Amino acid sequence: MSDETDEQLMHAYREGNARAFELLLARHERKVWNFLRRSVGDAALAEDLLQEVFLRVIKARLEWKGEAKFTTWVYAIARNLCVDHARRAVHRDARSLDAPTRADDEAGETLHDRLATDARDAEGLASDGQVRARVDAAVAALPPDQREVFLLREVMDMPFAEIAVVVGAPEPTVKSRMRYALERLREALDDLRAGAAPERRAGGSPAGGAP
Amino acid sequence: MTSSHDETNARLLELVYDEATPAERAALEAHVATCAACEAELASLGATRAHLRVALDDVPVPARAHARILEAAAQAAATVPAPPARAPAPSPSWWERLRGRWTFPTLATVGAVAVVLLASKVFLDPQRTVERGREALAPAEPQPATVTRSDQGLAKNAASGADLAAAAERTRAMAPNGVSPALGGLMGKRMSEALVRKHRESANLLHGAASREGAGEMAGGDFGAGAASSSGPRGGRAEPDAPAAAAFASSPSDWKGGAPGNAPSTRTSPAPMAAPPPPALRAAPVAASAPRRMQKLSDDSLDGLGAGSAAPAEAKAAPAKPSVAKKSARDEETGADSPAADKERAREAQVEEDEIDQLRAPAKDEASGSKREEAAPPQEVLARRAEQLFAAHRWSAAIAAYRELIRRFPDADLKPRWSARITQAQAESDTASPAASRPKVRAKASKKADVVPVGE
Repeated sequence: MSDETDEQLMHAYREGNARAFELLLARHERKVWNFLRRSVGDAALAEDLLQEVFLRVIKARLEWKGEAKFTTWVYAIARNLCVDHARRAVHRDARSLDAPTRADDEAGETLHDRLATDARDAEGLASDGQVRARVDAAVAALPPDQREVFLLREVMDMPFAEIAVVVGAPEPTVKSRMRYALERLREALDDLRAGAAPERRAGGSPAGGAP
Repeated sequence: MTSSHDETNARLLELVYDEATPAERAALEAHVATCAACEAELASLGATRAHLRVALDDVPVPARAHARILEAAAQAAATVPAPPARAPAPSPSWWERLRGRWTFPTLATVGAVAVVLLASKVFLDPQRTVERGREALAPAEPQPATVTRSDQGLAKNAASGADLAAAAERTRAMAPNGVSPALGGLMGKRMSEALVRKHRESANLLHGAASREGAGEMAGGDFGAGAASSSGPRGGRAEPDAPAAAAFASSPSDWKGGAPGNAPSTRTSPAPMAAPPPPALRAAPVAASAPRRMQKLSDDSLDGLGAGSAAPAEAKAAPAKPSVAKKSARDEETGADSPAADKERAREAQVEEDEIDQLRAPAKDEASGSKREEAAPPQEVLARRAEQLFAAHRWSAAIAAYRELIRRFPDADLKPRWSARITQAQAESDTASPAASRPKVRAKASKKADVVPVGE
């Protein structure tokens, strides 16, 4: 049964084979979980969304026709849940990343600067964990459409054509977004690599943000 | 395959993620091999992705979430519902049945046809529609009293009374020619009394008929009075004391604006009524011929008297003189007993002659038009009158009545009876005094004398 495609397993589960669903869950659960976690930036929320995604798959098994790829269907559910969450979060807290973190200090540090500073601070630890935190912070700092495409491509391992279907955008647009996302992350990684040694030698925090 | 730097640089991502076809990959790699910028860009993107792949750790799924998902999936698989059987189609609503089947188109067609028919009735003949609407809105007219042919016959009898009155006037007109004026006036007076008596009889018959038909429906209630007075003063009953002939002759409505004895042009009988008569006087047209005949005869009588001294009157009176002279001669030949007896016999003869004339009047009128045919008395009325005359031992009149019946109704079942009556009446008449036949001869002579000028 492990050699069966996602669609065959889904059909088996529709017939009442719970084992088929376990295999499907094993194939895609981790990717979806990491996508959600990096998308929303909150492990607890990502856990709830993960359960919600697969509960929707269970409920909609009888209506599933198999016309589309199972991965496309499941990742589209996950992506839409993230978009809905992002919209609700915007309504709850409309603060922009470029807005000052303190209302009484308009010329002060923005949230974007704080995320970058936090990443640079983590980089100072010179550990893998710190690097992951800085990368996670850089990914979180990406524009949503770029971050979405980046995560679908790097975490979900989805080809650009399938990403285009999930996000509902043309494939060239998806590639363009991916290119911009990589350039931003490269700059973040270059800054991390280039500035780590002098900052450690100087023993101070870097002045200024990203170039 | 050669490609520009910008195009290749834009497609470097396909090389990084290995999504280019082999041909595209070869073309891209060929350009990158010759382009330092593209080569450096490709290397930078590759290194960045490698760093990210390392940094993007693969965090395991929380066990709690995994367990819940499997639990939910197992429950769902354990309670796999049967494939959703198609729900029975909801029974179509009344409107759907009406609309989906033949009912609605049929009703629509019928309704359209009905509308077209109604519209054609209403709009294609609007005048008629308006008239119908007015008739429906107008109050219903009272139902006119039904006048049967028997009643018409009775009314005819009433008219015959007027004829008799005219005959009295005619008799009086004969006086100046051979009899003294005083004698003529006396004869006219007695004849008028007899006519009034007969007139009352006819009126009573009419009254009885009206009562049978329901006098309550008639406005006047006294149909006999209306019929009897229809030729006289309107609404008035003929006075029993006054001579009926005078009452009829003096009626201005009958003379139509002309004084009695005026120019003959006034003899043209007017239309009885311009408008339909009221129900109580519905029999008036039936009896309308009576005043006309009476008017004619009265004019003749007056002409005979020469009262008007008009030239036409004198011209008409001329033929009457020989008849009077003949009568006087016959009186002398037959040897009249006395003047009084002679007058009495003349009066009775005149009455009988008038009655015969009355009975024959419908036959005379037949030639004048179909309207008078409608006014002719029916068989039962004539038969009743003949029986009355027979019962009154007025043999000559009865014979005339029965002959008239036989002539008018030759196919009647009672024809043998009428013939027997004629024979019996003739026998009775023959057994009577010979003197009774003399006035009859004279009456016939006078009749001829009267009829000839009119016919001219």
